[in-house]
Amino acid sequence: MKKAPDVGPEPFPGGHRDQLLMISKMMPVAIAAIR
Amino acid sequence: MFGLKSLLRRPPARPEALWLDEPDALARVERAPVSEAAKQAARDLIVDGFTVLRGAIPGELCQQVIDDYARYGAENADYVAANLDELAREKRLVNFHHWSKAEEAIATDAGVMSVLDFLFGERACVYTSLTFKYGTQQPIHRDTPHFATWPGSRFFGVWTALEDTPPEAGPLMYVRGGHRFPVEPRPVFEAVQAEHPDWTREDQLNLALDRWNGLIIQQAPDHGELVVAPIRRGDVAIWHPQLPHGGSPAQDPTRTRWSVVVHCAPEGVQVHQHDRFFTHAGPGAPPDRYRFREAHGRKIALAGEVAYQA
Repeated sequence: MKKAPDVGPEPFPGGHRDQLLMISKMMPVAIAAIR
Repeated sequence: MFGLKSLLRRPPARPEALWLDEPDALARVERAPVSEAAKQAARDLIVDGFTVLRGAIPGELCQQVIDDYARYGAENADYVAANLDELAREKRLVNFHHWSKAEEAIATDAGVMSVLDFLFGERACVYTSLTFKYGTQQPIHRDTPHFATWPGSRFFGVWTALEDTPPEAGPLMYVRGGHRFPVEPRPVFEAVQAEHPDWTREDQLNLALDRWNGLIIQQAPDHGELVVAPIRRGDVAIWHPQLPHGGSPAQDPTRTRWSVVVHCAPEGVQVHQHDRFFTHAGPGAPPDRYRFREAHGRKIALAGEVAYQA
């Protein structure tokens, strides 16, 4: 059994990931004009 | 709407900011004795909080990482099978650069690291990495809680596309210029503690993380527009530690989005985690957490083994 990596949890460990994802999805998105 | 002058007048998001966040940063770039590529990366990070080094990593090396991952999977089949998500896709793999020589070579690439040396103003090293077979579809967030440093903002996410990332794979998205507004962590954690004094510290910290990132999501649209970066195999994207970013929704979640993100810091600055981010008051940095090995002339932190992230 491998040990859990020493890098902490993913960014949304508090049970609100889906809720916050839904809010994120409501932001209008543009395509970046990167060089 | 988001003019350069008004952006540069905003205060840095944390005290003891990177030189890139100082008001005279653009002038300092022009005076610096570095390559034009490094200068352009710095300009991009000052203004947008995001830059792309086009074709910085050879395509063959990208393919070697994918091949190494297949060998790792074959040698650890039970472990891989125990770490699938609800769509039967592998989760993200932490610290694969300790197993794959190809990924180690990407993590320590001389050209990319020399740009990081300039961006930090100090010699850069490798802290940890994440290897992705699929897009994350993560909500917008800042990395700062997971890569907390003293002084602040001594961290860059360095993301290499191992294959082209078409829209259906859920490419990286970020809030252009959203790296400068401050959201203080301590009041968020103290409010959670006051509301839930009977919770474990871990549960309190987890809720504080969600709430803090919720504030980032709420405030980010006032500071810049959300954009998707078209990125091709071998391109290296670098983002400011305070840049709100995430994985855009995948139209086809079974489509791969092979990529590696290497987390880099200056050699003399240790990276800490969300517990310290919300609670450490100083003075100075918390005690050191890890030691280093060396490869290709760069220090690589011994901070956790190769493992899928829960």
